[in-house]
Amino acid sequence: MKSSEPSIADYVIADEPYYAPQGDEIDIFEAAYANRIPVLLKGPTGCGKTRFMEYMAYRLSRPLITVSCHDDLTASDLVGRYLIIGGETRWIDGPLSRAVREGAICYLDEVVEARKDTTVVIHPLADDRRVLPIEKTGELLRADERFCLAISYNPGYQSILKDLKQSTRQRFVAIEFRYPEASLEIDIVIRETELDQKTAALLVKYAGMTRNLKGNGLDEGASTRLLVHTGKLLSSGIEPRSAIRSAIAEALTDEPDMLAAVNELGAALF
Amino acid sequence: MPLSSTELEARLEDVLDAVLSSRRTVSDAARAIAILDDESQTFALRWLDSISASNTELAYQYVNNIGRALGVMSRKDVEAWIVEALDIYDQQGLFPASHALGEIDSFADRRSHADRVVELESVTAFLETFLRGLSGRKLTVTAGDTASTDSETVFLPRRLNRLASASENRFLYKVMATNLWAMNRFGTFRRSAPSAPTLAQRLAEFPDKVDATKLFYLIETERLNACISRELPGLWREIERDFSYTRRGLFKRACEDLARIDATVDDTLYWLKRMLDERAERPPAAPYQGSADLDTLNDITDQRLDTERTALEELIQDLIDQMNRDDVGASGDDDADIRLELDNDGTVTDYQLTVDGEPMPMPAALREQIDAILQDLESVPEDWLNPAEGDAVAEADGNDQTIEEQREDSRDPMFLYDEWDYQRGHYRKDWCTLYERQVKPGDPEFFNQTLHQYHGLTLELRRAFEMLKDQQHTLRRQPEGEDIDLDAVIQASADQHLGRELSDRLFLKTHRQERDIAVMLMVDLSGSTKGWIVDAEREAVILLCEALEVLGDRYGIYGFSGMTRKRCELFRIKTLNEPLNDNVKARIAGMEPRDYTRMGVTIRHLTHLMDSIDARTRLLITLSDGKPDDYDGYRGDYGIEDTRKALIEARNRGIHPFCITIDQKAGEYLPHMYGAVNYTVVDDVRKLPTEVSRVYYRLTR
Repeated sequence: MKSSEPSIADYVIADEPYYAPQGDEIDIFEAAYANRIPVLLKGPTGCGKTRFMEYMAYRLSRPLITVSCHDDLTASDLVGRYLIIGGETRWIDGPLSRAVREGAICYLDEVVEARKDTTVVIHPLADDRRVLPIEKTGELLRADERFCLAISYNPGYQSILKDLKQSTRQRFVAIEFRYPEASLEIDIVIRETELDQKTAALLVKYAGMTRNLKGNGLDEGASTRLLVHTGKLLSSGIEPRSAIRSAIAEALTDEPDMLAAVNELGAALF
Repeated sequence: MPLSSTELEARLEDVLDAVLSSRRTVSDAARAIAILDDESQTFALRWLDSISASNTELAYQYVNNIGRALGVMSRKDVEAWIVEALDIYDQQGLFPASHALGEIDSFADRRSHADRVVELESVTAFLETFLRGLSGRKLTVTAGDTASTDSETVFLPRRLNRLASASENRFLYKVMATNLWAMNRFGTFRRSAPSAPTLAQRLAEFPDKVDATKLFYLIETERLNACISRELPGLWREIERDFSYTRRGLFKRACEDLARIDATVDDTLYWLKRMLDERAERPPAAPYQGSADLDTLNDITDQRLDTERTALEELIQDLIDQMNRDDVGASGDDDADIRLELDNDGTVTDYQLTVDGEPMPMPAALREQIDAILQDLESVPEDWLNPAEGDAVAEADGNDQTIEEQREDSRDPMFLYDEWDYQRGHYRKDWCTLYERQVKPGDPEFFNQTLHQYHGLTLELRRAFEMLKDQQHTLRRQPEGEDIDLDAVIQASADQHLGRELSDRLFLKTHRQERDIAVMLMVDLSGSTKGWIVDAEREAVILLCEALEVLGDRYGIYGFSGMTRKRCELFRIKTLNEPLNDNVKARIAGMEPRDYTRMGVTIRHLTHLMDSIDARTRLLITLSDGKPDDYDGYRGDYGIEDTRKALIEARNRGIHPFCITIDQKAGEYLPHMYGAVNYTVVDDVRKLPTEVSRVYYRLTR
């Protein structure tokens, strides 16, 4: 059995990702990085958190190891585990240990989705100790000085179960992301989809309408990401009302009344 | 055999006796019913009983019409006719309901076009969401005589059947609503300053005010159409397709001019004057044209501007405070010169905030507030931005007082719920008004004292509940799992060396049996619980809280009571997501007996609250001391049937209802309401505190 582990060089981002800053988030991130403070990205889904991380990894020329957290993600998924190779046990680092060892940026996306015990393993990494104790091997891994920990979190969830504990959140520098201002969002849509200005503006306006409905039947308005999806469908020649229905309305809600309203708002524009 | 008119007359007199007199008899009605066949007579008499249960006079009106109604309509339609009249009676009272009963022909006509009729009620939720999406401001949709608005509500006809199909009528509703939204959005009522004349005043300057007003809406609709065509091109395409008409002469010129992107209501008024002066030809009004109740609108607008001004001043004060904190000495005091420059190019309003000449980023809350004001005024008055210090403080204080008082009054959230009328076999719409009230806190120490008092029992309960708690354990030697079972692997490799069969059970698997339970406790706080019972209830709640804390189950506690359908009260003791803190403890101690027991509405509201909770098991436990009972006839079968219906609704939403009662006669009605196994009777009030926790243990084991 041969493990097909990707090399750390595979995590380096070679081409500059497109990122339009909303404010001073780049400066803050760089300052936090220079001071070895971990970073917490807050914001609704699809507003550019992951893209921002890719951009920062490129800018700082560090490999970026992204872990999308889910509710069965355990501490050993992050830290590592023993595998049996050629009749012998061998320790294989998890993504977090690798990043710590190699001085990469480790980005835990939607960290509240992970099991509670995972947040505990990041605690010693997230304060000035910057160590990762690996229980199973007895190793105490000291972080490379170029290592950086970043986590993201969507405060919009109303569930108490999906809240970040104070003991975790107070270790981080927090950067808040919102949906971009209309004019910036239009630029982003144009840049990502090659739509014309007028259609992009209509899409952004439509996003605003759905965001008006947040808390009035919708959990979340259309994100920038959904707009980009819609724009791509439009560029591929899909009829606008169908594109909106498939890429936005159906993605936002299953509830028939709400679906009708969201669809007809789209139809009012296109 | 059909009944004879004499038999019928006796029967009717029996029911309607209270409203009959020597000149007001039922002989004509009896004769009309006598000619009906057997089944129709039974039908008519059955409904007579239901209606007279609501109102005897209404029943009298009913018997006078039922003969004819059954002559012109099918029984199904007649039933719809009766139910509609009863709904009107519930909502508007006797006179409109009697009137509705008399309108048999128009009702029959409507029923015959039933396939194209769209009831406003069926599209209200859609329209409200649609309008909310168009712009953030909430517009309520309500039935009115014509399409009109008062700037916060959109009134639309109760039903539409003007166009040939239901889908066209539904579209007409949407266009009407959009048009009224456009009036608010595109400044039909906007003034240049708070002191400027209102639209009503400006229209009153015309010699024939009524005619001018009529023409005004005709022209203004054209200006709004142009705005809609720019703002909502997709919708406009459809409007043009369905409702296009030709514009001629001076009106055409007016339309062209009003299509300018910067046209305002002033331009409409200019063209209004010209068209009146030149006696220009007028086209018919568009089917979706709306109007406004200008007097109400002005009152509402003035009130809103007052509130918004206060809110704006508070936000600006916050901004100044923050700047002073951030940058001590730069401006130094509250006399900062705040300017707002508006750049209004018709569709997008952009503004720049400068403080003492320095441009400032606009906080989101401030931007929203200014947007809100700009819906009513062309610009934000200078003195609202820079309130003279002394006045502002004095005024703000004065305002605060009243706002605080208003908040006190309207603080408690209010909800409307339907109620099931088993006699009618229909829901009474929005029949109950439920308020979620705060509980006056009692002594928080009571909680701990009670725990102390039941000390031995608490320990026992704790131990029992610990056992129930979710246990996470690792299963060894599994065929799959998240980690390798090294012991198994070592053994397997030994087996391999010895040439034995190799096991595939080499993994460790974490087995979780999570309790995923949310429970809602609904405590009877009716007057009859006074004394012993409420004491026992309090203690029961405390012991159960203790147990639930051990388990980590989510739980909410609400007390319920009420006095008539207009004032059903739910006392919030602990919401599902609230931790058990001193406030909750104090509220438990503060539970006091109140008035009556209207259970249906309470169950519906708690069902609604639980709906948003994601848990595998959801329980609704009622602590009760008797049958449903309220002052306004909510008792006996009516109360039981409504409660039963509410429980069925809850069950349909995946909630398990359960009832714990101390009413020894509960066996007579609880099985019907909750189902044979979903209740328990505690034979002694003193046992209630311990019994509730035991029942919970059994239920969730």
